[in-house]
Amino acid sequence: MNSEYKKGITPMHLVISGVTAGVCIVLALFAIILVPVPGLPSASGFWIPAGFYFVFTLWFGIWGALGGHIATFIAMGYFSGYTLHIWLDGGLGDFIAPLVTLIIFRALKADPELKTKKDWITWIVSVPISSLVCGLWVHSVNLAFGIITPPFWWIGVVTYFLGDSAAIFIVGTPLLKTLSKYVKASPVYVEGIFS
Amino acid sequence: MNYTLLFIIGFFVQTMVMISLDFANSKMDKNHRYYQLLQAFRVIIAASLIWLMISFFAQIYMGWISFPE
Repeated sequence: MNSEYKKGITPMHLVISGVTAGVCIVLALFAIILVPVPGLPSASGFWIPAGFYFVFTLWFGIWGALGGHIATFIAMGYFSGYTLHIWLDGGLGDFIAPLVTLIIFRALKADPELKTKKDWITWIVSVPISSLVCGLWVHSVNLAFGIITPPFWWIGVVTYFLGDSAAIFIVGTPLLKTLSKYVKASPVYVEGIFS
Repeated sequence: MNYTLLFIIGFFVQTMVMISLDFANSKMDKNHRYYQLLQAFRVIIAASLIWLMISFFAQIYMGWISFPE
């Protein structure tokens, strides 16, 4: 990142959250390819927006994750029939998941440009871990609230694990590889979690 | 508003955003600190539009999108 830029949280980071939410909400509303798994609230087979908000989170830290969370929350509201706590549960899961990847990237000092073998391994390992954490969170909460029955719990977790990971790898990998160098040259690139 | 109409409106809104970004980017100085970020967002929105096109046809197949006879 260009060192001449002012460090710290700036209003532009909030703008970035808004922009990422704007991009993700259209996808969260319309870019669902497979029918959601019957009997499983908030589980789509191939969750394309995840590919985008994971990338935004690796570039813009918590502000990118926040944008993804806002988009998911609003989009799930559109598909009515879901109660408020299902929105919150799914939206929070989609907030936690990219943050897990971000924390792993920062802890291992991996680069989102995916230049070295270490960067690639971090990306390939952290995405399934994040998707699993998200799936476990969302469906354990659903189970605790009696929204799903125990036999559907593991189906939901596996659906999240596979569907989110596939979408993130297919969409996220080319975006990270090709665009990270441009974003890193901008003042809003986040080197840590918040700034 | 039905889903098909909402989808088409969403697609057009995002297309307009992309055209606006393209216009803003073309008017911007190449040394401007947000020049490269704007370029990155143009590509992101283009990728998003491609996914919307793929999902449009997939959703016709799935029966989510339909047109009056």
